[in-house]
Amino acid sequence: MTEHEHEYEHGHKYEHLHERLETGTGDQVIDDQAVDRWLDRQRVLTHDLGAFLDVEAGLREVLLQSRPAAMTDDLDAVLDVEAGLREVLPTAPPESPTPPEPPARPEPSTADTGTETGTGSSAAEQLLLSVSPQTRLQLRTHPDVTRAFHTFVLARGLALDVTHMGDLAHALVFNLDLAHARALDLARSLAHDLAEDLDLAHVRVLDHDLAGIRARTFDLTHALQLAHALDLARTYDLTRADDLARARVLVHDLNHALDHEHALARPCAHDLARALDRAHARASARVVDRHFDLGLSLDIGGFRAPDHGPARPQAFNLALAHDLVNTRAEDVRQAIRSTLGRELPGLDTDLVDAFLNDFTTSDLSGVDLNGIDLTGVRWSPDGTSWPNGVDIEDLKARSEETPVGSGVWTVRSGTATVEDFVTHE
Amino acid sequence: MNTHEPADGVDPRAAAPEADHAALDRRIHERLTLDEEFSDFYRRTIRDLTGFLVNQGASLPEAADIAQDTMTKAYRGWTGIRTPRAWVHTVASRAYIRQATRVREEPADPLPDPLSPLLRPNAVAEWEARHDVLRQLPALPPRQRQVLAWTISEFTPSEIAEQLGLTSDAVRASLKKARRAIAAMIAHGEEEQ
Repeated sequence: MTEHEHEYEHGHKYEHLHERLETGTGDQVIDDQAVDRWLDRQRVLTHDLGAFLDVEAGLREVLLQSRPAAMTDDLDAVLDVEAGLREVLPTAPPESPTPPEPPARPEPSTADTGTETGTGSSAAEQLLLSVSPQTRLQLRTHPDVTRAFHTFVLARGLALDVTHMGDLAHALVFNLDLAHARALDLARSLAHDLAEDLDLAHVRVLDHDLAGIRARTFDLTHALQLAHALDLARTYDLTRADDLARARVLVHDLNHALDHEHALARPCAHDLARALDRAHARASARVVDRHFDLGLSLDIGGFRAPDHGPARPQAFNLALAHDLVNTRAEDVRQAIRSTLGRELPGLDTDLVDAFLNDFTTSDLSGVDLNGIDLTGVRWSPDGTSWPNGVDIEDLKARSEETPVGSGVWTVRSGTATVEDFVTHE
Repeated sequence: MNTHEPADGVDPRAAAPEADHAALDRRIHERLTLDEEFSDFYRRTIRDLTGFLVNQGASLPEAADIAQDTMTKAYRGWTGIRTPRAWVHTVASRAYIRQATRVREEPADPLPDPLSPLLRPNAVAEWEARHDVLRQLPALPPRQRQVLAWTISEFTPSEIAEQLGLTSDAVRASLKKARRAIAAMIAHGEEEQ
């Protein structure tokens, strides 16, 4: 018999405690029954406590208080803490000094020149390994390649503009009231500016004017988009009769003004193209043509087919812009191919820039850099090996870290040859 | 190819998310089972645990607080607790003794904490009015009072001994003295009447 059983064997749980107590004053019988009654009453009192306790509220508190800890445990099971940490920490892994890729690449051919650096992908690495860094450095100084690349960069900028323009047009659909007044003013002043600029372009047929022309054409297409939005307003905003009447007049005026400017711009562009031809810059001229094509397409999309909404002309423009970028990239490839005397099968449109400028992992220590213009070259203090004597700090002073903190530096424009960076002792 | 694209089926980590989900499902299921088990225990035990502390000399708010804290600890360590009922009584008893000692040593700390949600509104006054008799608990030495409280909560002397780290004989001796004091108190009360 266990002790436990023994304690309960007499049926009354306090029975084992019954006893006679010897005291100094003689025998005293403890009234065990009275004590047991007292204890039972005490137990009843304890049970009565239930009336004063909100058991469910207490239980809820315990469960809720403890839930965060349990939840944290559960989270551990699903969270990849290390991956999260890697994303937060700014430092790139040492074996790959290239910066993280942009969060999204909407179209391969619209990557931004300013921030794009060599991709870390194996395709890019393979391509870069297929040609020695010295050859690449020489290629990027070859006039044909330089010219083709320059127009490629322009085309890429244009594609970016078109993308932005699409965003703008989209926003305008939702801001129709605002578009009313602005469209005409902007279009008129821009058309005026454009005429002036084209006149100037007549006289100064220089490569860098192309940028100005492009900006103006871009502004014009902006205006056309605004006008398109205005036209949409006519479709959507049926209740505003007065505004509509005014808008119709404005659109009419705008059409006139733009037709006029187009008529003016066409011969200017033609002259410009001829001048550029003479300057052996046919590629650049094609860029101008494309700009007008774009302008026209916006014109068509904006005025002649308003029923289709902004999506169609924008998609059309984007396709056109990408087509243009690809054509320019093909020009660069052609220039490289003929200079190099062989094919480079992996040289996709979005790798052209990396191929010519990315030296972030290149060993240039044995390369003769004398007389080579390094402008635009991307390099990395950790990944690029320079010939002895190149002063890295001086090179840094002439470069820009893009983006800041990425560990990738781009040599700024200006004549920057290796002699500038050699420390003379 | 960029880091956002999934690898071509050769990445050993590819199977990991599914495994993670299965593990998570299992954990959620385990937690639900645990919650159910614990809730059942809480509902069965909380009244007795609170009364047990009152019997040791705690005021009702004190008792409700300590009982609630103890239950929270029990929930957190639930899977590792072999005998939950004895465990919560032991832990609550120790907590009360610690608190009573602290209050004795630092009498300048009388500010009561907000009442535990376990306690119904106005419960304290009503309880004290109805159970005035509790105040008549004999002024027993702490050990005797402790053993008496365990006994009222229907623990046997051997169980009490195990929980308090005493010998059964020591428990019995304390209980004997407690009973004697109660008897004296009862006799004294009858004499007064």
